[in-house]
Amino acid sequence: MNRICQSLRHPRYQILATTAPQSLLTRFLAADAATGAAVDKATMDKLVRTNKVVVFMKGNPQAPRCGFSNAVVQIMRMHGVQYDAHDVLQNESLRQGVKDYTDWPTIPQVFINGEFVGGCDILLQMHQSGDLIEELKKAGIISELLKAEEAKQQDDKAK
Amino acid sequence: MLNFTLRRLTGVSIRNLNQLTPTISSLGQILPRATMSQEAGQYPPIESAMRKALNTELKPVYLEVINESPQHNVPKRSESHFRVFVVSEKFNDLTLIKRHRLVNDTVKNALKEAGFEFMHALSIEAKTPKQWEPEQEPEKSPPCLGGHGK
Repeated sequence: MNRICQSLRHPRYQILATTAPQSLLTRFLAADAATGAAVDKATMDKLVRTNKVVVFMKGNPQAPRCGFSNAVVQIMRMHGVQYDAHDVLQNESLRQGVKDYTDWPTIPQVFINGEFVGGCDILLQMHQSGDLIEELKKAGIISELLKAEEAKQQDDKAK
Repeated sequence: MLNFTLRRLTGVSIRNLNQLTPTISSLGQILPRATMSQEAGQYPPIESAMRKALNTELKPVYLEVINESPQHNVPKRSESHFRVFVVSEKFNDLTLIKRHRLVNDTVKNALKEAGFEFMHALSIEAKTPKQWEPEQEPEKSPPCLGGHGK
């Protein structure tokens, strides 16, 4: 357990989130923010596939503006996941667009491989049960928790 | 063995998540459960509509509806943030996401009929009777960080 704590404190794991490609963001921010309309399905289809894991949240990973969004950020950090984060507080049309797209009433929302996985509650329960590790594995992402456990087993064998 | 160890590693509740690493300590704050005062079983309007709909639709073995609004930066007596802990046979063959959709839709329809908008935040724990241990308490919500708006 201590080994995991140390590995997660490593600077490499502290900021794992990135913003989506600027061209795509600029396009819908300019168009939809001007009209006030929700981001359309075609744009959402692209947005949820900008990375293997995409999170729509309040605030950004460095400064979440909601406890539930913060919980998602921390779970992702524990697993060492690289992901794209979109701040819905910056853009009302994106906020409404993602809710319409998933037919899900609350933020945060998490996508893995373009598929909607759920919000904070579901992600937390998946984390607790170990299902999140499996889901990430399906997307070709090896969780840091799994890596740390395997490394520990190697060490134990060596001893 | 690996699977068992993984489940032990990842079987972390929001209450003790902060023991794993200092970067996630804000999650581990245990907040007092906030419920509005009820007189003779009277609930505020939104909570009342939610309870009625969930009882009718899901026939729960156990239902707890907690108004967490006082933990947030909202006016007094607000009904903006709720946590629902529900145990029902209806969840037996449903995936997590489908269970949550069922609860969301039930609440959304009930509030629409009663003339209310959907609340700002609804946190859900939906379990089957087999998954439920009667002494189990609902998870505590993480602290509010000031996100605003609907």
